Amino acid sequence: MNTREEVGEFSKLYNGFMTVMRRFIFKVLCVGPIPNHISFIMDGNRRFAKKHNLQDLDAGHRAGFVSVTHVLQYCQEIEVPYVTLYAFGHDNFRREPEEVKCVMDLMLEKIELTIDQAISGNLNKLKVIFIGDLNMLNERLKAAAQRLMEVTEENKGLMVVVCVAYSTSHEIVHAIRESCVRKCGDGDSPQVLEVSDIEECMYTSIVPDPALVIRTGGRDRLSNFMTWQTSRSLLHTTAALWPELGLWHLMNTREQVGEFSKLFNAFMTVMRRFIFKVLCVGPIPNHISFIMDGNRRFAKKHNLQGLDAGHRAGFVSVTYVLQYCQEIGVPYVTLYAFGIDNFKREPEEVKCMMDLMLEKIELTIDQAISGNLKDLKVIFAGDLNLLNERLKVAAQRLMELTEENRGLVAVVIVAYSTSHEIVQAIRESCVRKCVDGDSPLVLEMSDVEECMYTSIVPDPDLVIRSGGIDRLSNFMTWQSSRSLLHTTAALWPELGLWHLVWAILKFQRMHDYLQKKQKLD
Amino acid sequence: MDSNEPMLLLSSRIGQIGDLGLDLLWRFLHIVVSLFHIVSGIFEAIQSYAISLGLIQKYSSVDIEKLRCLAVVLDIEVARDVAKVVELLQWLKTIGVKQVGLFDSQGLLKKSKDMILEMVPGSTLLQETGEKDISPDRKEGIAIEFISSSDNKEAVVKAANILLKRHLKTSHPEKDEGNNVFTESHLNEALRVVGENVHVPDLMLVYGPVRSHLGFPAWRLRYTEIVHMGSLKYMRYGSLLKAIHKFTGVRQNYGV
Repeated sequence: MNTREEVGEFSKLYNGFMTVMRRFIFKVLCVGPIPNHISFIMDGNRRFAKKHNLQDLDAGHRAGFVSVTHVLQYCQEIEVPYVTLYAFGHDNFRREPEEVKCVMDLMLEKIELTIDQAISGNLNKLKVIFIGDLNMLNERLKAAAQRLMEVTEENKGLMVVVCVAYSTSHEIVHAIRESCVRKCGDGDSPQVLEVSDIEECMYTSIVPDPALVIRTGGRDRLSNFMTWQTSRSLLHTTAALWPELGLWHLMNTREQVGEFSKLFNAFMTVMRRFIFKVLCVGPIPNHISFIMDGNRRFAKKHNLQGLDAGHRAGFVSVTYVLQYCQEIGVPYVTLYAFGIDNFKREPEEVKCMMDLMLEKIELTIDQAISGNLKDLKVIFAGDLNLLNERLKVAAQRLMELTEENRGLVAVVIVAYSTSHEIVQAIRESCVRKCVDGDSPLVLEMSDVEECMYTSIVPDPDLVIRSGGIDRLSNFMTWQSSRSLLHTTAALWPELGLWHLVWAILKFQRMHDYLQKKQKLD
Repeated sequence: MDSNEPMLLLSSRIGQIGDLGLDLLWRFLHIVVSLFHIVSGIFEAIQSYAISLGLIQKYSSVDIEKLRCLAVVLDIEVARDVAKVVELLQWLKTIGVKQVGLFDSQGLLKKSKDMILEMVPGSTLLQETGEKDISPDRKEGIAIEFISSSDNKEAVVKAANILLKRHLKTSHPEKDEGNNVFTESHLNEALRVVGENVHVPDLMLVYGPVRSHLGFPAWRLRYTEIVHMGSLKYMRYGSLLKAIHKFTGVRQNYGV
């Protein structure tokens, strides 16, 4: 009946539901007092990039910017009037020049993006101000920052103060200098500085003192940030790195959040297992094939720079999908990792992907050796002779290590295409016929099918293609005569629990019909 | 011993109630999903009527040149309804499709092929001719091909046997790697010898309850866009136009 639009609507419904839940939680939160001004020390971007093996210098900071947008949205919904973001400190200029330039370019890019948003009228409830020693920034960045400030000057709503080239020590000295100059200029008043004179000249005089300072990255210090203004502030540290900061972290102190998020994760796992239990009342596919499409588009969509950035994100999806299939109890899973047509890509890109595959296989070998992969058997199918030596050897090693395992059989399909498979199978079966003197020199279908790369698994019941594309792209067209072909608009790294559940529900609806077809054959 | 029995009975009863509960939840979940499909189907039907009436601007013209070869896969239940098949072919002819491959797994349409060709004016049987076959009377008409499961795996096996014979003719068949005999182009040629069409369809419309190619020749299916159209009994002109229009907007990378 329907094509992939239905999943798009399903995930819209899901997002809508999550938004309603979130607003409800905020309403409950707002019964008590809400901080007038929250300051964020956005620490941990570089550690995040290292943790997730993101290659580029600004990769962690890009992920951090996504966090910024979420945090500002939540603060707006909770109706916090002032938010300060510690973006770049004076001390950070001492980093590698290349890294500093990268961060500055990223800031410029995001400011220009925000200016466009503001001009199109999407930022009516946000007023952005930049404070700090703006003369330390390059001309373009300074001009862009000033432009954004002008464009949002009239806006009412959340005031966001972005601290760049800022440090408390510099601020205090600057304030003293400024107030001295004013005193000299102003002949009448006595030549004595008061606290109020100095505070008037501080960068942060435009906002009240922060009620709450949240530092991510698990560090317990203020790092030369607003030490003057935070005498009465609650200083809260969370172990989460800045790009990992989420809704629940805004709620409580460190220990409680740690336990709270553990509870939350445990709750989600129980919910998930329960959903799977319900799903398993009906028939479950014996073999699910995944065409993992959309990695490159994902990288482009999120502006991830490295050639393999999208594929790395894709690998994370692979681990989740295998985990879910194991929990549901699907016996066979096939993953279309790399096709023969993909060798036609740029040599640099192909090499990048091969290196990534090697890295992940070696990681999996380590897991297998430490005994963490008891329930998984990994097989590589396809023309392995087209792979480089190291990769081929690693693949064979992983196959040997997991050979005895019982549980989910994950077939990773590399250097494969249906047309190549059919031709190779014919060749192999012909050669076998010639060698085997006794049997008549006529090929049967079983002879050819025995020699196919995919002879080790039964035909797939369900083929799931991510990326919103309607074709099989030379993948298992021979074996999928009775398969339900399901496409989802989500890109492969975005594929999640609900997409899988939806596909299986669809399979269950059509199961009787497909069984009938099989019997007719 | 005696105290164990009521405990076992109780736990098995609880287990049964638990299973019943899960069962009900599963059925409820499927009811919700079915409702979703019904509502979705209603919206699609409305959109389809709007397209048929020409109300939606973007579907009023379709760049049919991009669609060189269309395949239509019919479930066997629907293939029996020849009148509907003829109506579909007439619609396709109106839209401007030049070449159609009709597939049903059991070959029922092959049996009715004369009747179909007669009932669709301007239609001819597609012969396995050269790549370009633009005869003047073909320009207005529609060339129809009838395909069934026997053209899929069995045909490939027949072609494989031809390749086997060629391979045996080489001087040392056991030692020869077969690079001169076993390539994709050789297999294409062998399939032609067996009487198969090797043209690759650009778009495939599936009429049936499920989006599955039901055994369409695997060798030809490689890069074909597969679109599920629903049941043939309730087929709509608007949906057909929408599917073809969407195809003309598709961009293929071919793996690159």
